[in-house]
Amino acid sequence: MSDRYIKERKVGEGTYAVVYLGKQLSTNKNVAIKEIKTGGFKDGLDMSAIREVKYLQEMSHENVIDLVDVYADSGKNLNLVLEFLPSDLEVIINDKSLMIVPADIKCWLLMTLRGIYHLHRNGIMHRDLKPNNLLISPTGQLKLADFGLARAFGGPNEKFTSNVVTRWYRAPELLFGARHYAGGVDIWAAGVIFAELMLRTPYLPGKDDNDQVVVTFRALGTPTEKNWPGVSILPNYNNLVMYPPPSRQELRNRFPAATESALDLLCGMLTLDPNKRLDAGQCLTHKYFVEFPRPTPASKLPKRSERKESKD
Amino acid sequence: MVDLDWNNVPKDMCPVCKTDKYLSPEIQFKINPECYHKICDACVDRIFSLGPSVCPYPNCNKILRKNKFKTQIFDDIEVEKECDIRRRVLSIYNKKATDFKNTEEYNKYLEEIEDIVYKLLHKIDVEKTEERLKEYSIENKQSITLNNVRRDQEYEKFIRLQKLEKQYKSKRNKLNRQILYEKSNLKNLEKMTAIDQLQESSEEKDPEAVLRSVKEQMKKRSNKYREQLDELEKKYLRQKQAILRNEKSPSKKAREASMKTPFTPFNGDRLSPLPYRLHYSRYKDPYVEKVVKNEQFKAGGYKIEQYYRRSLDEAFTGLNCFIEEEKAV
Repeated sequence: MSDRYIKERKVGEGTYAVVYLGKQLSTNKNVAIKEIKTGGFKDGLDMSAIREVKYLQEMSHENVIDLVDVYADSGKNLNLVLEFLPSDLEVIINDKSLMIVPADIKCWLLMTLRGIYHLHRNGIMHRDLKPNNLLISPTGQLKLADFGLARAFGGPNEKFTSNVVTRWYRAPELLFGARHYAGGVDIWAAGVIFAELMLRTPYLPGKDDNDQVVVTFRALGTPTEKNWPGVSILPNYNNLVMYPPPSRQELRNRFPAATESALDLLCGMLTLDPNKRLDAGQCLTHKYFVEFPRPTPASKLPKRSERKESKD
Repeated sequence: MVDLDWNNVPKDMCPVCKTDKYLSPEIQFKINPECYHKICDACVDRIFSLGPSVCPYPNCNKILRKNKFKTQIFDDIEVEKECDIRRRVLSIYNKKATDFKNTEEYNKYLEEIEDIVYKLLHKIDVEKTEERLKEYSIENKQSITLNNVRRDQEYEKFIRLQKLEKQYKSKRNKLNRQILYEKSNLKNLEKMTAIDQLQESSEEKDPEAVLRSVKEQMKKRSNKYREQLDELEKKYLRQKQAILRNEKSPSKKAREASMKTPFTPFNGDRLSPLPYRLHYSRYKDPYVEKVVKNEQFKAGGYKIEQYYRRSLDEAFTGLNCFIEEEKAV
């Protein structure tokens, strides 16, 4: 099987996989090959590898990374052949030499939401959205990647773990330890990314899990039974400092460059109560995307001139 | 201390706070077209920041607003006044010579403008003249806006032409410099190459011919720049013509074209109709109902519909789907 691809060089290593830059021999196209380490796990394959294969093979969308192939090589290692995407949103946010205009932010958010919309309508939650996992193709298309934490919307008798999503992008219901949640966690993460794109610095950078609760609610107000019915029975809802919700003017001061409808969308995505939070379809039809300026065409988005390896 | 003569304020002094240019060189004076009394920047900020207020000059009594204050351009306040009035009148009386049948009528029109400006400036029949202006502006409302648009377009055209010319000139100068530089170098180079080639070439070759070929080469090189210069000029003339003919610049054209295409939030990929219909209300599952009533589910944002959807999708998407056909596609 492995005679169809060659691994050219190692570009990154994670706890359960090594990522290589490779080539598909038939088309001579660059691909990223993720070799799953099987040796160290006595229970067989790592869970995230299974998730990645399980959900990515169901997906085929412009804004979701393409799983080209899966094969086992001679060493009995599992190899995932993925689309090669040279950059990610984190690199762009951190590269201070790049100028980002509101139209660019609109395009990135639009592509992110299209990806999320596609996942959600197929019954899948991503559960690990962050700028680092939003990869950028050479043509400027943004693609959701790293499905190691993804799962399907489960039945009522299944308990999900609340220990998902990188801390800064974790929705309040997860902070409270909810075991039954839905796609709202992805929308929240996208909202925090939206804020980060405008600020060009992380919006809710908690130092640890407790600090994350403080940081989140200081910025957006502590939820109460009034604005989030039922919140008080969630496992970790205790010993909270009550912060008042931010006024519109405070938000305007925090995001001086945002238009009124941009703030509307941001507030809609960062609504504390997941039942009132906008869903992906509502976000996409929001007036923010229709108002001037139009989103920049993907091919004209700012990108780094030198190539950076896709990491995982 | 002598009282200030308000009718004759020293040139570099603010009569309100008595600051002058000698003690604070950064002082800036502002005037308001209501009364043209000069006040320094700091005083304008201080007096008018909280809203409209009365002019601080004694017996002036005009109500002034901060946003109307501007920097004086002409030293002579009368000239400043006339320019303001003229600008105002001309924005209403904005016809052009081409709008008239003959020169005589146009001259009459110009005469009228001068008349109005003069009267407004010297406060003769102000009310009557204002009335006249107003009447004219109502009568000619359409043509006024039209002419204003036309003027803006002309102005934009002018700016574009200026920009183009500037670019052209800088490019031309660069090429000219290159040519001059080449010229001084060419003579030396010609000598060197001739000597080199004469040394290398075998004896039976005619030295005259070698020299001639070297000369030819050098000529070609200097001609290359001349050709570039010609090309540049041609391009400049072409672009200039395009602007004069009122063609839009390519970038603007593209932008307008993109605005015409409607925005598609889902990129044409919205949820297609489902192969089944959902009736949550009619669907009774006592077990699920009991579970979902639990506050823990509600508070976490759990949506049973999404689970139904996924389960039904999984059940139905395979139907009516023929792998052979899909493969063919």
